[in-house]
Amino acid sequence: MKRFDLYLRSVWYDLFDRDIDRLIAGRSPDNDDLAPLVGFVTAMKTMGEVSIADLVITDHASVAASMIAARSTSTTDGERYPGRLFFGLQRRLAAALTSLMMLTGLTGVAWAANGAVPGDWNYGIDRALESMGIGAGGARERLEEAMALNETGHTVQALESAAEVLSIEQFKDVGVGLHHAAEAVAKLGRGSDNATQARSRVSQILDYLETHDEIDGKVVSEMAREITDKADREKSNTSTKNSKPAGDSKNDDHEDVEHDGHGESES
Amino acid sequence: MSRMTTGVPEHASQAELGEGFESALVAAKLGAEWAWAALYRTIAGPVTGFFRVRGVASPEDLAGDVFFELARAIDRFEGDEDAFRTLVFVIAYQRLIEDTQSSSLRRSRSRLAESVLTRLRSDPEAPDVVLQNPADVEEVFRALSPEQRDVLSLRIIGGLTVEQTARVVNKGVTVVRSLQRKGLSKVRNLQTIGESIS
Repeated sequence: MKRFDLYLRSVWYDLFDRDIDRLIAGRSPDNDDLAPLVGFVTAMKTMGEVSIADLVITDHASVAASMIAARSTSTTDGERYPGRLFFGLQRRLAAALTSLMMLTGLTGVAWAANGAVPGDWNYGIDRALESMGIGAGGARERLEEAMALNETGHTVQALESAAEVLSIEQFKDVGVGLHHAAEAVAKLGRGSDNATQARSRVSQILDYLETHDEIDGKVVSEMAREITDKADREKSNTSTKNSKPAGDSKNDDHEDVEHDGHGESES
Repeated sequence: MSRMTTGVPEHASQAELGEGFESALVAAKLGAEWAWAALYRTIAGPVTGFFRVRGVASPEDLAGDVFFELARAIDRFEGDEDAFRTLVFVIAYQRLIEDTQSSSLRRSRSRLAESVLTRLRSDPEAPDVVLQNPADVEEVFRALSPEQRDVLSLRIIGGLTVEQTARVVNKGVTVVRSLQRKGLSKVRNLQTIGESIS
């Protein structure tokens, strides 16, 4: 009798689940119990309908294409992680961490140059992708992406990628500083002199990360702070200019001009 | 027996490339901007909607993060459009968890509720069985367990199947089915309570 009850229950669940599928797919449910849920599902779908502006789509697509380009230039002969830079960076970061551990007495820090570590913002993503058989790349790729993005005028995204390279706990403050710099640069006018200067400063940061055996967090933080301060000053100057009477805005026009065909993403 | 339409077309939020997916994927792996735009166009709405319903403060920004993470993972991906959609939501789901953990979730309830109300009012095919106040929908949704919210938002907003949802939340298909049954049952009970109070 008990087995028959279980059988009936499983049959009922199957029918009910099929009706739930119909309800979620937007079709009428056969089961009266589900009828009151039509309004809920409709409202949920309405909440979730979001249209994205074409400008945002093209800008994101441009960044993604740049990231792929960065990867393809660094991957040769079918090897996944070749080259001096990868091993160099791995060695340098490991050396930097070792130095920090010796200085601070920290031990047991797990560092995987080919992926995120616990505490990183993208650690969960890396783990989830690995569970699907898809590795998400590591510090070397982030740094190369940052370089490619900066070269193509995507300074904001370059700074974000650089922040990810340094998103491990020991460089947490440096990463935050780079994020602040990215936010400040995002507010700069497209193609403005200061945006170009910020791009050049970001190049210096990336060069520093690439070429130094031991990374001094203070140096990177200082460079990031300079970018932030300068961008903030530019922003406040622009606001002052904009508040001037009409007819005095001749010099502001150039800020809307794209730089080398690429502008800063403000999305 | 009840016969109603939901007023929302089937898979309304689920744009698909269909036969064009394979070529777009190959081109995207080679860094073609048009391909990335095509792929992004199919996923940006549902992913942003998913974050929006979950109360993320800047759903557009987080959707952008998902897209860039996708660009990092794409060259290791092999599969059809359904698998691609699963991958996208695996990343989105993890970003949501990270975002929640960093306590940057801020609710924008009134704005969301107002926009839903406006759209429902302007839709002539909107069902009669409607919630007088869409904020109630959010309230009801928030009353569900986190796992029930995960499953229902991925199914309803993300347009994922039960199998795809199971993959995203890393649970069994049976568990996912059970979560959606219990979640919807709870919604129905809460609605009934709400109606009797009003």
